[in-house]
Amino acid sequence: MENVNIDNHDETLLEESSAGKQYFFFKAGGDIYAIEAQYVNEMLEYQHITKVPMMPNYIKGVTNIRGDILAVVDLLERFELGTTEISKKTALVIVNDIALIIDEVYEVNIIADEDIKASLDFGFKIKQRFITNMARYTSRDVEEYIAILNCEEILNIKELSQIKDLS
Amino acid sequence: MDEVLEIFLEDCNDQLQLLEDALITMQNIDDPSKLSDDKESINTIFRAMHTIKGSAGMFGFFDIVTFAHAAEDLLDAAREDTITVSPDMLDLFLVSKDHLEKLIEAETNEQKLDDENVNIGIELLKKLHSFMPGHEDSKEEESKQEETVEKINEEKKKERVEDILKWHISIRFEKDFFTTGMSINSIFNFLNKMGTITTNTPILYNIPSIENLNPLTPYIGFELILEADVSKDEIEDVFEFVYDDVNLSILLFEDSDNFEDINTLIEIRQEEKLKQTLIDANFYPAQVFISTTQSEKNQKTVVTIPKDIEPEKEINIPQEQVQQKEPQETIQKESVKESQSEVPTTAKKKPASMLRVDSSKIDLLINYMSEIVIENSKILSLVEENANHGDTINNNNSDLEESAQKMRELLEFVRDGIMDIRMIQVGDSFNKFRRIVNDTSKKIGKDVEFVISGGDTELDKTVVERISDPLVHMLRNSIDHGVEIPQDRIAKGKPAKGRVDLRAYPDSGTIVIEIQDDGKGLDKERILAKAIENGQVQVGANLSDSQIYKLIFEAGLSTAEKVSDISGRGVGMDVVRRNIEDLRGTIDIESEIDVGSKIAIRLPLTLAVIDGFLVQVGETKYIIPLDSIQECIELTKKEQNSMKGNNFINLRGDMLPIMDVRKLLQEQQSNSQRENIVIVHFGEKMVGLLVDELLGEHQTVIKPLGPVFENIDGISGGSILGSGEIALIFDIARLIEKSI
Amino acid sequence: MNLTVEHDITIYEAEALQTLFSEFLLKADDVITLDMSNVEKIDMVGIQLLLSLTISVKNSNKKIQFINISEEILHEIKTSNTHISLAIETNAND
Repeated sequence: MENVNIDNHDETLLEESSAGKQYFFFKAGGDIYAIEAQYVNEMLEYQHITKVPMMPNYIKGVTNIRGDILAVVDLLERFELGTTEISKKTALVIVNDIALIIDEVYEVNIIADEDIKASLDFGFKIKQRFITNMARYTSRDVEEYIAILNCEEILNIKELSQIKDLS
Repeated sequence: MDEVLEIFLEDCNDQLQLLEDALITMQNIDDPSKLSDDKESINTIFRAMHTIKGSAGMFGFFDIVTFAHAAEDLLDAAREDTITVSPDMLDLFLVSKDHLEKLIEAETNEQKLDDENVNIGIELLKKLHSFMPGHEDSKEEESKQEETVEKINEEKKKERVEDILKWHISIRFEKDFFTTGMSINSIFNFLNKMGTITTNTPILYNIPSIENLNPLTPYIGFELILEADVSKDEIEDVFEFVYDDVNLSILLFEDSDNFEDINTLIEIRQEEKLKQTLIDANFYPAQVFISTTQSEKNQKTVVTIPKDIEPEKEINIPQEQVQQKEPQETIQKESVKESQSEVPTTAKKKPASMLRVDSSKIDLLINYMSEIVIENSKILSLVEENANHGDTINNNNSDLEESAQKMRELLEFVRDGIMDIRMIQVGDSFNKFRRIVNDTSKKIGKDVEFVISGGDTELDKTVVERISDPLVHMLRNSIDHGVEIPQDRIAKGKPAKGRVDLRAYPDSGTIVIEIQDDGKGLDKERILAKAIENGQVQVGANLSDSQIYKLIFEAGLSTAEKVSDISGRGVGMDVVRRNIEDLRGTIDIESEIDVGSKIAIRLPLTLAVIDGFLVQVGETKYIIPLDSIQECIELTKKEQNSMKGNNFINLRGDMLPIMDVRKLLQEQQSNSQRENIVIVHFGEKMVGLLVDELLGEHQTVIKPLGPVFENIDGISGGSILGSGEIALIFDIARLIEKSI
Repeated sequence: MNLTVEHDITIYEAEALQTLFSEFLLKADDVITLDMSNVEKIDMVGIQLLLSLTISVKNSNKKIQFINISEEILHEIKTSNTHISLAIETNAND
């Protein structure tokens, strides 16, 4: 998989159509999720991660992206749903200068405004504060509701930077 | 901020610092009756205020002008001995300096001053005026004080018409004038505030046609008639800021038939059309212009202000003319003298070899350097790989290796050179503390002698900036909690005047900054008791003196009897420690009851690139700064076994504490057959770090790990190896602290 | 012939404008109108530029007038007293 760059300043790509905003869709732990495309800096193939000690489990360490050192978070572990199994499809998604480990990249597409529902009535696998809204999404002929992720909460630096209690 | 405004701000700050230093010098004169004798300081303060006023006027910052003007009047009176300088006056000037600073900050940020400060300003103006001689009718003074420059001038114009002079100002520009960014219109505006420009004749005949125009060259000129109650100096001051880029001539119109000056001007300008232009614009009647041959015969003092004032040339007044044309000559002579005395003091004339550089440019260079270092590392590791594979192209390989090594040497030089640019002397920053020490001591009734040494010690610019607040805090502490009040000191047999030392010096790869006082010292018992009370220390814990003193950095640990607003509730010291730790520095405290205390801060020299030694610990590679390595020891199986369970080894007779880094960092126990100890030191302390493998030297660029990892103790950053892998960098200082 | 200036007339645009004006002058009619409605800022470099243009226009026996000058621009020009040379009319009150 080549590195796919979503240039945040590319007006033509991110122009809001009258229907809705652009989202980036991906799979983690078997489920599909979406993140607003404007928050996604970049996607790349999974690569070597250097472990950093004394951090919470979901912080896997750091990785080298073109000379910059970025923190790496296993999204599945952050959701407390297990650990991501590394496969050929595993990828890194860069959001707010942090790399998220995901299982598979799906696509970038628009979600029509009318397809977005407030998330109150659904049963959740993951913590509600990690979800902004639910969206109706059709993939491979299956229609389902998927979670649009709240990156601010998921990547809350205060939480992420807590040193693991050495007990 | 506009570049021009930035320069204005910097210049003002320079002037304000000069001003403050001089005021503090005067404050340190013990005998108040001698204050008026310190003419040097008074002059320094006057010139600084004068320069600020002039520059501010240029930008139309009239609030600053009014304020500076009032202060300047007072200082002028002090210079002339029409008033005597008192300690109260000095205090007033210091407060005024602060207010001026606020005014300048507001104006350069294009903000308005808030009501509170506006009122402070009004009060200060009143007080400044109250010191002036002949100040009897307070009511009149009050109403005048609240007027702006405009109103003051208007009144002056109405009241004293006879004092208004008529000036001919001839302005031409040097080729770089436009690039200074100075607005000519703002100069016109200001002149119109000082008086009235009754005539403004733009000189257009030097402007070429559009095809031949060089747009950035100033061809335009101006001939002005200004009617105002001002001296030639005051008009020159308006141009002070663009002094070097303006060609200015100021002539006084006189009732007499004396018009030599205008003819001299015509000669100097060498412009054919000037004469006719001036006639047409009613500057002078035609008769006053003599033909060129005649004017050559007159050897006159030049009224124009040349770029570099050469004093010898100026005093060129033929004797006969001095007697005949006294009034005008005296004005000329006076102004010549004034401009002579101005030359050595103009702060903006910096020595030619200095460069003002935007620090972000240096940062960019450092980033490039970092990339280059990484690439070079790659080359070196590729070279090694080739060597390991026993390539047949052996000759090329050794050449390659040599080249790469050479590159590395060169890079080190360049790197050191760039880092050196960022180094500044701590003295400049330290000097700013004088004022704070001064104010703080006076405020709480302590008498303190503040001694700075090692001001020429150099530190990275960022480090100096970030160390400033912590130092101020600790200085305040020394004065507030350390130094006793004079009575107590005398009772203890100490001199009434306390002493606080601030010193800086280099020491084996670090810079040490010490704050020492000869005050009452730290009370171990009280500190310990308080910490136990706060639950920060267990009862019965066995702490060394050093550890007890360090407790003062814990939050909530002020043992001061009453909380003074100076150094507060014990909230400050933990922030101080944090700030210093962020700079990868350490703090040490020594103290003795009634003798005094000494706080020593150690800071690493550079921030960005270090030479390190690569080691393997479990799955991860780590880097230990080379500077901190004493030696490396390989532990044989036998030694490992004999060591089991102990936290120290016997190193040539001394006990060396050992730190099992693997455990500390929660790495899996490695299966490595070998264990190694890297002995590191920080200052006087040493510890042995137990690691798996030693991998060799590695020059490394320190890259931050990012905010996610900011709470980790013991790791200060990451480095990208030639292979693309990341190695974590040990924070030796922190590790050593943990081990004790 | 009408030319509308799309930018400010300051030191930053000066070089470009000098080229623009020079070329324009070559192909211009006898009467040139410079529309300043889009000009928000002007400095002395700009004023000198306009003066130079005016001089060249006069030398080639053509005429130039500046129209749609905003209040701010007018004020700047008047402060330097160059409005007369630029043949810009001002109100009697100013």
